[in-house]
Amino acid sequence: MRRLLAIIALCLPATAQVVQLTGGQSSLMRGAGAGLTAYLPASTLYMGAGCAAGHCAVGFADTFKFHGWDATAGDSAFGYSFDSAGLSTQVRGLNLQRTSPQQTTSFFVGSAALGNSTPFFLANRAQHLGAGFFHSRKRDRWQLGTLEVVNGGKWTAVQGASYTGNTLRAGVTGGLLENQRLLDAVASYKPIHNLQFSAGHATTFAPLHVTSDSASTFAAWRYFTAQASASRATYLGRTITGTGQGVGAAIGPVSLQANWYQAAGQRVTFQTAQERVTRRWTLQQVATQANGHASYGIGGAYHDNHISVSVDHSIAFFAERGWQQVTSVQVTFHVPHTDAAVTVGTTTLPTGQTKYTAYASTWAHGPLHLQAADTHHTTHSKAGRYMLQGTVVDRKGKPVTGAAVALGKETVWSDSEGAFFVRQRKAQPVLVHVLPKEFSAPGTWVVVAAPDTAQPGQPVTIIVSTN
Amino acid sequence: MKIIRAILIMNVAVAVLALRGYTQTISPAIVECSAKKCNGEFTITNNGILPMTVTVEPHSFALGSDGGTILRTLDPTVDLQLDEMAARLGPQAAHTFGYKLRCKQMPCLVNLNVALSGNHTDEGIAVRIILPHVIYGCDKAKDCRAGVRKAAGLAR
Repeated sequence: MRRLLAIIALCLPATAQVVQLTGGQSSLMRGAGAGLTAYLPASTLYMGAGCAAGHCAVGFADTFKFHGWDATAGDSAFGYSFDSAGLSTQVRGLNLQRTSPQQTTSFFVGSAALGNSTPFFLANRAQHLGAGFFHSRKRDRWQLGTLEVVNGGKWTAVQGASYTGNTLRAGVTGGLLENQRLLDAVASYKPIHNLQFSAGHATTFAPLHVTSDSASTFAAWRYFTAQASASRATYLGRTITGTGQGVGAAIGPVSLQANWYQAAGQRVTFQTAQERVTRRWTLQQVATQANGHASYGIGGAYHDNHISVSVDHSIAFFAERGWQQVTSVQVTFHVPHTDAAVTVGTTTLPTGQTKYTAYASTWAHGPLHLQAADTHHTTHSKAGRYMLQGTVVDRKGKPVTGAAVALGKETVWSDSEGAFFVRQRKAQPVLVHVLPKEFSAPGTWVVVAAPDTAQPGQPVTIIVSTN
Repeated sequence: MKIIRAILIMNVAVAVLALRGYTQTISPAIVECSAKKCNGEFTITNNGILPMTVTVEPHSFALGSDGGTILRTLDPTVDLQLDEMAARLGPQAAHTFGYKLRCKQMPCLVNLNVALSGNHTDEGIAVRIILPHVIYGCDKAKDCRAGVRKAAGLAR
């Protein structure tokens, strides 16, 4: 029986029109693995296997439509919240969900699981038998919800109701959250667009009887924001109060934020600055001080259509170890001429050890050959001073839309006027190749006339024809 | 063998129909900027599982009495520099197009029509999805769109 299931599992992707493959290894996550997503005619099938943090697992999920329900057989997540009470768990079994603007209903039957979630494979490890039900319904300004979950002896039965008006929002949630009694109430008042007042009360009854009350306000004016909060918690006859204040500003490409918190004689300050140097470069600085201990972080990122690079460096002071630093670098790039992407990252720990993570994903297409017959050329974003341009027309001089033309290493497609252009940094001529098999226009195309080269400032005309 | 082939062809046909369910998006769809110096960008996301070809076509436009846009050739007073005019967009991938816009006349209304089409087939009909990126350029970016709509006799 297992062999038969294995054969079916291996054969199913073969009928898929599109398959996505991922795989990778990480010394930081102490694991390696691979996953395959097959887009079948009526469902999406996922299979993954690997090890992470010393645990190995095999994952499987089949997502399909069933009488209007979104169904997943295998590994999935069951997570819902209602105001401040919520529950999220990985599950292995059957998960059904139906969503409309007015209501959401979801069931799961199977087992609650621990999730192995890495960038290169996903797999859940079944733990306890379980079942769950969630239903939420909106009616005018009111929303009612219920969440019922049984998970290995832990019961959750939470009910909630909330009202959302133009300026007032209020909600109350109560019940049992993983065997603990809970009562939670929140209210907020927003008299004008840029000013909001909020207040909340929460009570849990087990294992400790804890009550907490909080109040906060938020205001925004032009480039500036300010917020303040106060909270009080009581448990075991002890009361702790805390306050917090913060200000922020966002002026042009620079965003600044500073927050101060005090509670039980402890004080924490937190400041961040973020600058968007250009549309591709961002920088970020963070400084935190808590009880005389300081930590600093600096990071930067570059992002364009082909590569993303991020660098983060943080330094923290620990009483027993002094200054400690962590440096992480991550690079993601798209492999030229393919749909593949590769991510490589390193993290240098305070011990001086460098850990790495590397993973890749790619797509494979099925027998219909809907993708370009030859994707050996891609368009690269290289804004430059010099423009190569031209027009593609048919024998009658009518513009041809979607004609693919390779200009040197770049490929471009003509617009509805038959026009195309590519920018380049150097004022040099490039070779011209017309690529009929990559035309987005359907049909069998042939090249009637085309120049061998194109140079900036001298538009070219290409004549093509359908057979 | 014929039956197996027929089943495979049917599966593939159903798959193609199913693949049409995935959507493509543009973000942001509308921007307001100071057209004296308007450097912007927009991102096209292909949520589908097949690669697509993207072309960008700029137009000037006016607002009609019904609020619709009336496209015309780019005005000579508009200096628009697109980083690129076409790209190949892989499955579940995004591509960002950057531009610099300078206008001598205000308001400066530019519509970048982003046309997405599937890749080559020897048979079939050409299907293009067009998503607009609309730029409202004024002396000051704030409330530019509202001012243009008000001038056209439309509600804000």
